[in-house]
Amino acid sequence: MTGANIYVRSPYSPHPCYRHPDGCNVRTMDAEFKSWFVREILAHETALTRFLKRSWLSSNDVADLCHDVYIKVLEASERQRPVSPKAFLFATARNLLVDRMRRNQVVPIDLLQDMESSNVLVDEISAERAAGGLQYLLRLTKAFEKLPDRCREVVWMRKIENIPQKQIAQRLGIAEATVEAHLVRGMRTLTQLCYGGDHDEEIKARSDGVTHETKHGK
Amino acid sequence: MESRPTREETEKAAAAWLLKRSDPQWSHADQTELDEWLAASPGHRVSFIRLESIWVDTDRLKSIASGFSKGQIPPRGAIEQSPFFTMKQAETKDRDPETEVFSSPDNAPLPLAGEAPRVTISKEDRPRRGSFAIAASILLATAVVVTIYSIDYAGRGKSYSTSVGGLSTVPTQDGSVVTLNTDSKIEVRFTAQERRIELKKGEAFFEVAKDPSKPFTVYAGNQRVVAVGTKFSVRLNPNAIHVAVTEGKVRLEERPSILDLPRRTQPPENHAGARDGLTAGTVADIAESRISVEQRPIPEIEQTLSWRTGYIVLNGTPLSEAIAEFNRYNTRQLTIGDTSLAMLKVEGNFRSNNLDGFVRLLEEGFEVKAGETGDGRIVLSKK
Repeated sequence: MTGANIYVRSPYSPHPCYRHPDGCNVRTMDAEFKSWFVREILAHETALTRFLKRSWLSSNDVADLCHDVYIKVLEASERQRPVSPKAFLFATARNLLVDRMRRNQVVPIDLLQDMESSNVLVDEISAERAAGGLQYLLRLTKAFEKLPDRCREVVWMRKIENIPQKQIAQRLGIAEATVEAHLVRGMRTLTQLCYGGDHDEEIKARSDGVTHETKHGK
Repeated sequence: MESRPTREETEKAAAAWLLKRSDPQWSHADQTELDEWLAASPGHRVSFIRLESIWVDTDRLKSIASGFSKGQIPPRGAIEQSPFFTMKQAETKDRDPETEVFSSPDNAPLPLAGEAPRVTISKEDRPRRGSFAIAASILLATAVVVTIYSIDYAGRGKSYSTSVGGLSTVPTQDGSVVTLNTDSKIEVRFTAQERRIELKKGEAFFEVAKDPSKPFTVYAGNQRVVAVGTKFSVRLNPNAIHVAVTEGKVRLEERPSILDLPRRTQPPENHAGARDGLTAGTVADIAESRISVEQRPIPEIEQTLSWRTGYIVLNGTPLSEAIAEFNRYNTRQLTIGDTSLAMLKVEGNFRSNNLDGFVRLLEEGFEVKAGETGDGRIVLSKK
């Protein structure tokens, strides 16, 4: 069912097409689709995370599950965009969760009962984005300020001052692979914080991981 | 299915692609490779879209960074404390001001005499300006006063002016304070009946001390703005006059010509509605006989008055306008060499004399390159 898609490049389009198992060609990853996905799906991440957290899952499992929900929604939307994306997102999340629970043979009854009533679905980020500005910028700033020191420094140099990775490495006297590791971490942390999934533990764990990792370089 | 990469691995790979893509060496072959990677799995696409959406937006932090010097990473917490946020935080989310345009009598219904002013004022959403006021007063106190000429004419009053890039505060004998923007000139003449200011050139902000017995009148071009106790700014452009009120109420009148009978206090009938009640939050533009009045959230007006603190605030401003702003404050003039650049939207907060910073940011953030001409102009063209 989730067979690999066949990649076809259309001569008329700069964007790749994917042939889905059910035969139709869909164009995806163009700017319009991406912004739709960001606006209609990813924007609900805070709420989705909260919803998934009510199960027995750990933060890291929640983030994984979130990712899997997105995959299902993305694949379906590439074929045909859901009429009400938010409802579709949560229906998908629910099905996936039930599925997992069945497999684990642990089904907390209260969870199942409670699932429909996930009505406190705030999605501030999309409102902020739409409002064009300051609040969203403040969110970005706050996320940026939460980055660990070195990571923050490297992200600033790369993103704000536009210094190429190689030069950052020279300036700081570290390996370019280390600079890249910091940027990768920065990017992931900023994303996690901005979408409001409160995976604090995960971020902590992750930054420890990176410190360790960068010692070896790439 | 068993060897499926974890989310973490996928995210790291997506992040690496995003970093690689911003490399100047990025080629068609690289793009093809990325496309193939994306096509290989929906998980790749999810992670890529998700990370990209925030990473691209992170560029917007540049607009705040302009307040900090290059090559220096602001200490933790400093960004949120920067004037960019302290000045703008008061801004309301709701940016849909009610607008009414008043035009000359031939194409607009005339408001009847005595009819309530047609200017509508939204009473809600008027946040505190405390943070602005504090920032403003601190910055004002440290602002460099460039030049004030004070010449006593017999009967003509005192004249004050600033040079290009200048900013100065003029206290008057009644306790009112006038702040002069760049390249501006006023004449102050106080009599027993009237506090009279003539705006000869440029722009000034007036904080008027209350004195109902003596109206405070600013003459600008063919208009005069009458206030009792209020705060407002008047800007004299070559063919238009711009009035913005941040507190209290002012009345707009046509300047009586020498042929008129002495002191006509009633404004011309046809503009009664528009001219009578310019209350706080009103911005009026007068060009020839046409007046347009608009309601704006006060913080937004304050923002356009950010020159009082030495800042230019651009908020999705077209490049052509942004350049005109900078040119008011600097002797080195910017010009657009490529008309397609004129509508580029610029956002940020700049010291008005930080021309170099502004140009650098344009070069870094947009497809713009700057070249200097022999006569000291800076020409912006497409990269």
